[in-house]
Amino acid sequence: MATDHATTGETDVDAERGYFGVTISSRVKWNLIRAVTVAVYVMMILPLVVIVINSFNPSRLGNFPPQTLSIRWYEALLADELMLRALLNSLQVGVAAAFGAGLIGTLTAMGFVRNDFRMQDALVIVLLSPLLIPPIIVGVAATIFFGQAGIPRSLGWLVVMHTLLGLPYAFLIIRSQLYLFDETLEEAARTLGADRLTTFREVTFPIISPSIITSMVIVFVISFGEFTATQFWVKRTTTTVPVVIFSMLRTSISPKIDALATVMLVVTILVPLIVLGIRRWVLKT
Amino acid sequence: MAFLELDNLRKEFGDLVAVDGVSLSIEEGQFVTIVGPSGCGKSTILRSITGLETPSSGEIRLEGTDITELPAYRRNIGLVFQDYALFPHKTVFENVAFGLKMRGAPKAEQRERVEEMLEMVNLEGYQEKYPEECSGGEQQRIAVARAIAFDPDLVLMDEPLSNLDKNLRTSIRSELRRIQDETGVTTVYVTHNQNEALSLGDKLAVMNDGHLEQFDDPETVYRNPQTRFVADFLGRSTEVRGTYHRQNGEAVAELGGGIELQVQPSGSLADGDPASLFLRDEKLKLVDGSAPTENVLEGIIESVDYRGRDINYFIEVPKIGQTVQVSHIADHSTETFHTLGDAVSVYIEPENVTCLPADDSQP
Repeated sequence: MATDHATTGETDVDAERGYFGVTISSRVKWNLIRAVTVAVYVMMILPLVVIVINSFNPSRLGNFPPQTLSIRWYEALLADELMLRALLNSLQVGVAAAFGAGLIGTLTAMGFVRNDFRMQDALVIVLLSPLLIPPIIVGVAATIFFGQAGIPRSLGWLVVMHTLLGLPYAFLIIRSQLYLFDETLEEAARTLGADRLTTFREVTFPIISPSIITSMVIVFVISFGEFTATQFWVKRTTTTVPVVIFSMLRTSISPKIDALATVMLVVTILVPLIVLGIRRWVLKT
Repeated sequence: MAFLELDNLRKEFGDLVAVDGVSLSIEEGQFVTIVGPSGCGKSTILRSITGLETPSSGEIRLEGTDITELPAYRRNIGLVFQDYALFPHKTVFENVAFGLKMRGAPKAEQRERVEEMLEMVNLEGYQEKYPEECSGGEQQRIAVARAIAFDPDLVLMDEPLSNLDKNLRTSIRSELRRIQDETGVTTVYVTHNQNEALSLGDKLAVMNDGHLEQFDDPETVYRNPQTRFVADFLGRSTEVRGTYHRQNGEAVAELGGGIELQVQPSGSLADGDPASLFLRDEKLKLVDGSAPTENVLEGIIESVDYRGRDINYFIEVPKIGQTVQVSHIADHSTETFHTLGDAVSVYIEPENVTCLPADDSQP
C-alpha cells in the first residue's frame, strides 16, 4: 500500500477521497484556489484603487469613473492648514514613537533575555498588555489618567502613548533575534579588550540592528494609522491624519479626504520600502 | 616566580563545585595542555584565567600581579573559542584587528600587523573576506590570528580543534605548535582529546572532577601516572587488583591464583597494601615458550580485533579471572596471527607495570 501512495502521488489520493463526499479533479481544484486568491486581493486592493483614482477626480460629487483627471484636491489639501498640520503631526509622532519603542524595546528585550528574575513571565504579559487590551479602553483610560494628573493634551502625550502601543511589537521582534544571538561573540569582544559599552556598539548592536530597524518601521506604521485610541488624545493642534479623516467624514464628503487618504497610503507603503531598501544597501556595502 | 600562577582556585555554580582547589604554575613561553573528561572543570579554569568567570575563591597571578578580580577587557589575554566566535558582520581584517583597535593602534599599524598574522596562519589576502565565506579550518586559523594579533601576555585555547574533521585536526594541530614556537607566546590549551594533549604540550595537566590529578611533562605523565584516574584516562590499559609486597628489595604485586608480577610502585604504597595494576595494551607482549618466565601471564585468546595496522587481542587469564587487552603492530610479512582459543603467554616489563594504591571505595 505504501508504494501505491508513493507512485500515485498525494493529489490523486486526495481526489479519490474527495472533500465532504465531493470528488474534484485536481485541475478544477487549482482553478478554485486561484479564483479565491484573486478575489481576496481584488477585495483588498480595489477600494484603495477607487480612492486613489477618485482623488484625481475634479468633480465634487465623484461620479465614477472620472471623465478627466486633475490635482485640484491636492492643491486644496496644501491650502488646508489643518490637514497639513495633521500630516506633519502624524509624521512627527510616528518617527518619535518608532525611535522610542526601538530604544525601550531593545533595552527591555536585553533585560528579559540576559537575566533571570522572579515574575519574568508575568512581567512579559504586562509588557504586552497594550496589545491585549482593546484600543478604545486604552484610549479612555489614558485620557482619564492624564486628565486626573492635570497633564494637558500635547504631541508629547501622543508620542508617549504611541511608544507604549508600539512597544509590544518592538519587544517581541527584538527579543526573538536576541534569543538567536550567540553570546560568546560578546565574550570574544571582551577578551579582546572591549568594555561593555564598546561590546554593545561593536558587536551586539550591529548584529541585532536588523530586528530593531524592522520593529521601528512597524511601530511607525502602527502609529501612523492608529485611530481608535488616538481620537481621545488629540486636540485641534495635535490632531493626526486618521482622526482628521474621520471627523471630515462626519461633516462632509469632500474629495479632499480621498487626496489625504492617498497621501497616507503612499507614506505607509513608502516608508517601510525606503527603510528596508536603505538597510539592504547598507548591508551590501 | 612562575609566569602564571593559579593558587587554590575554586569555582562553584550553585551546589556544583566545578573547580575544587586547583593550583598550577606555568612558566613563560610554555605550551601547557589541560586534559580531562567533559565537566572536569578545565573550561572553567580557562574562563577564570581570561576573566569571563570570577572564581569563588583562590587567586590568579600573572607575572606576580593578582588579576583575579580584573575584568576580562583589562587583561591582556587572548582566547580561541571552541566555535571560534568570529564576528560575522566584520571582515577578516576587522576581526583580526579588533584587539589592536581596542588598544588604539593606528590604522597603518593594524594593517601591517594583520598582514603579518594572516601570513603566519597561511591566509594571505583574506583581509576583505567575511567569516562565512571561509571554511571551518580557515575560520579556526583566523580565530588564532585574532587571539595573537594584539600581542597578548598569554593565549588560551578552548578545544579549538573539536569542530574540525579528523584530517584537518592533525594538520592544524602541528600548525598550532609551529605558531607557538614562532611567537613564543605562553599558551594554555584545553582539550578532552588525549592525542592532542600528549602531542602538543610542553607540560600536561590532567584534571578530573574539579581536581588537578597530575601536572608534568607529557612523557612522565604517560609513563608514570600518579593516580588511578590518570592511568586509566591516558592510553588503553587493563586494571588488575592485587596486594603489594616488598620481597628481597623488589616490588611485587600478588594477583591471586599464585601469580606475582614485578611492578613499578608509586611512593605511597606500603607492604601489604591493596594495589591497582595498570597494564598498558601496547606494553604487553605476546611471547612463546622460550621467552622470559618472570612477569608472564598465561591465557587464552577470547577475541581478536583486527584493525589493519594494529591487532588487538583480548586474552582471558583464568588464574586472575580477568581479560587483558593486548595491542600490537601487525607485521604482515612474518607473523602468523593467533586465532580464537589459542593458548598464549603475555610478558610485561616490570617498569611498565604501573602500581598504585587501590581505591577501596571502588570494587
